[in-house]
Amino acid sequence: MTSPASGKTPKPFPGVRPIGRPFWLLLPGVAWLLVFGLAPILFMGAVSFWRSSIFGTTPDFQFGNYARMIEEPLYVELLVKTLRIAALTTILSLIFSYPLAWFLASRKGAWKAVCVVAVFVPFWISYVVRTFVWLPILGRNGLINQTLMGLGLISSPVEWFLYNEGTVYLGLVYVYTLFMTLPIYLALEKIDPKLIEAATDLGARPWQTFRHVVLPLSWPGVLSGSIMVFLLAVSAYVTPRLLGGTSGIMFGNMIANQFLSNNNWAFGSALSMTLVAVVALFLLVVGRWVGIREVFTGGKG
Amino acid sequence: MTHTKLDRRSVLQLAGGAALAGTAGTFGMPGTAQAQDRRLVAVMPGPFLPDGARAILERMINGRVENLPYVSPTDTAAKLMAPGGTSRYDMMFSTTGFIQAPVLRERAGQELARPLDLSKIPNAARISPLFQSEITKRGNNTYMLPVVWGYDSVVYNKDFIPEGDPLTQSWGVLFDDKYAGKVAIRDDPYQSIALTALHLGIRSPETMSQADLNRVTQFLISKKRNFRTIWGSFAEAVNLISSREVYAVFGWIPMRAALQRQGMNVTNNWPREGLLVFTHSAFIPKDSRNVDLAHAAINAALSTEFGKQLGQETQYPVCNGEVAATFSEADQARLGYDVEKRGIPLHRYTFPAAMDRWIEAWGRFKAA
Amino acid sequence: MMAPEAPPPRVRDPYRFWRAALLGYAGIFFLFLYLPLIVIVVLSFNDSDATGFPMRGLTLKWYTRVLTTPDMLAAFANSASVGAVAAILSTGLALLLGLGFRHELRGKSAVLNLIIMPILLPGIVGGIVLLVFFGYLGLRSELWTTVLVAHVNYVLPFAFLTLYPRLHRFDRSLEEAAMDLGARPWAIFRHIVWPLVRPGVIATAMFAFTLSFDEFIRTVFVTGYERTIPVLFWLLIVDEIAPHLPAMAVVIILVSTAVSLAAFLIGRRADRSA
Repeated sequence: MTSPASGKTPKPFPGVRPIGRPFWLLLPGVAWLLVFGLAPILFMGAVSFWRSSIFGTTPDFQFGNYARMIEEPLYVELLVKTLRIAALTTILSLIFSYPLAWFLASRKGAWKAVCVVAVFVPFWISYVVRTFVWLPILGRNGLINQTLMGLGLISSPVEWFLYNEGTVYLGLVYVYTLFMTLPIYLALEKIDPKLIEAATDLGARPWQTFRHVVLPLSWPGVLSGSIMVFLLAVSAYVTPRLLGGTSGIMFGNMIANQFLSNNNWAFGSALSMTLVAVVALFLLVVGRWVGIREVFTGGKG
Repeated sequence: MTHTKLDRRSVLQLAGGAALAGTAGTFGMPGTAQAQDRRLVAVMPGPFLPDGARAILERMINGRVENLPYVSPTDTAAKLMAPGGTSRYDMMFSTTGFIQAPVLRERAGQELARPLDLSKIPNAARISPLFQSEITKRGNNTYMLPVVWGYDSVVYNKDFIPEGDPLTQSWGVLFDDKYAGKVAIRDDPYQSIALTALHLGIRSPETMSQADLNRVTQFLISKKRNFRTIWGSFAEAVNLISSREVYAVFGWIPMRAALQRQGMNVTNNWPREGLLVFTHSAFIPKDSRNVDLAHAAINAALSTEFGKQLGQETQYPVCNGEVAATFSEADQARLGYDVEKRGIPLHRYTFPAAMDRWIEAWGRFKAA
Repeated sequence: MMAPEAPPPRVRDPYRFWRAALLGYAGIFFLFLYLPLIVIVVLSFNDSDATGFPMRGLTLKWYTRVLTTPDMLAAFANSASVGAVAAILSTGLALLLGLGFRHELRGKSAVLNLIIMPILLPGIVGGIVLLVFFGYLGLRSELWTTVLVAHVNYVLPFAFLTLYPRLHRFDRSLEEAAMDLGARPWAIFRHIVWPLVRPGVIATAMFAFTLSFDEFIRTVFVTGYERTIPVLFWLLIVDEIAPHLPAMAVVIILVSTAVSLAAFLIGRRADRSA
């Protein structure tokens, strides 16, 4: 391996090959991913065609689980609802996080470090707790209602603060905003301030500068943040359960129910595979439009 | 450069130290290797092991109970039926009417539990005559013994819902528009659908027709706005009452106890359409790795001392017939030991044949 | 947060309004971000058996309870040790993968897809596939089997994506010189590559640790009786009457802030020296 490469293939560092045999370097990681990453998914794919009953799950190959998902409108409705919530959460996070990311990127020196850390700190408590804490804040006798009543602004507690789809959006945006803010901030930070100065000097209005200079350059950050938030929101389980009230059900809760309270592993597997397929399809469509891999590897893949 | 290096090294050491300390914390904790046999891996409802009762049980068996988070009877069944499931847990407690079929299975020889050695459970003789029918047998073998019993009803705050209100003596308190927005039911297909069916006059919800199930679902959907939320687990329901978010919940016995301990003015109702009652039975999975300790634990759970302590801490009544007598007349009424004298129908928890449909119906309610 | 902006030297500054608006917005956003935190801290001193308002006086008893509860300490030990092992494993695998990726290879793109796949898997499914898989393998759900695998699965792609650019960025001239002089690959790694990538590796490992430390949705499906901190939080919220929950949350914030700040600083330093 120490011999210099003959230089037949073009590479970033011509002249020498990097150390190590690629096969042995890749083997442990690839083996792990195949055994614990891919194999369980394939196995669950198989289980999704099995049959579950009160006496357990038996490996008879059949399409019943998928047929039921199509026959019973509930599952399609839930899937649509879940995708809608995930999409809207992503858009809301984007709208709320972008200005913050810009704020962070435009700070200087120590202030910047302080602000960036300040954005991180709330994310160092478990998101389970960060979701729960909205209950004493938004509840009928919670902080906000008590404050508003104390100020005499309302005479009886506002009920719609809690236990509806709006609360689910609030909870999701709150717990996942970092995943949106951070990549946008990193993208914005790479923009050379001289570009903006130049645009201004050329007479561009702030909106025009944003539209034609800043937004295109921060696009990779926006995409990577959006994909992360979408993926996290689409499998939300804790937030709809704690904050969503009577309508707080998403596809993830339905999946969990099959395993936790129905003991229908086969049907639960079919629901899981469906969610995976829909998300993969979605990412494939988005991926046609923008390279997903570039999003995750910063174009170095 | 030097101080940078030093910093890095010290942090590395720190990280390594933390890892080591953590690892040591796990491995070094009392009894991994040598005390393996004194550790019982159990699956039972957490409220059955409050601190005082747990201490009694652990002292009696001279071992530690490692209890997994208990989810539901169906989850217990799932855990047991999963391949290898009969060897993963040493002892389980679950709702008798739900777990009987999955434990015994269709034919003799297929049981997922091992026959109990009653000579190691002398306290089984103390099980009250009332609960003899809840003992699960096949042939000459006994597979499960009822330990705790109880009932599910409406737990309500008397400050807001007067005890004299006739509504309180029916499930109707959850559905009547008088308390709309101030009540919560449970995010549980079985319990919520069963109680609604009872309320609608269906005598035997578990065998009701699809048409009846649809009627129940429609009724629930029509009342959906009345429910402030649906709770999933014990503490959620208690917090709903204690924060005065709602005034009444479909709830369990230990919730009443926990809320009273917090100084809340709560009680439970005795719905005239039928009270949901259950027993929880103990059994030993077929391939339990700790059979002797499991027998000892079941025996301890059936002891009078444990039963009395459990009643004091959680208000759960037990199947040991001698425990009731240790409480005063008033306390017996408070705990519900007099439930048979109240003249209301008792509806025993039973696994519905069409559970899948129930879950779908519940999903429709939530998606509506 | 309200530091006055330095007045720009330009006579006509079209951004002045936007700057002020941005500052105001950031103020509101930070309030939104910190309100729950403040509420947790306030509630942690509430002398009430119920978690929530109203305040019924101040007490420190919940902190005493948290610091003396074996459950909390055990969960902390579990989280810390699984986090450390998951971080070391995933960073090690990521380092090897990254070194492999420096070579020109066919099939690299397939391997990259394989690495990214776990990120694209919805979290709840990421837990359930392992529940089903290990269920049928007949493995007991335990900290060092199922939970560890779930954590490494989750953390590995992030570790790779964090580490990989850092393996590319460093100056390779020394490495090339050593090769020209005929040094053995191991010696080159040990004396040249490792010192250069070490800060990046440490930063990655610490990042991996923080990810693992906060993992919930996968863990909850594959955990046995040993609880990690997020699983314990969840059980305290839904299952147990836990007036000490806010105090425990505060303790955890303090600990994870300390650990994460260290990771953050190391990461910055690593980036600077890389």
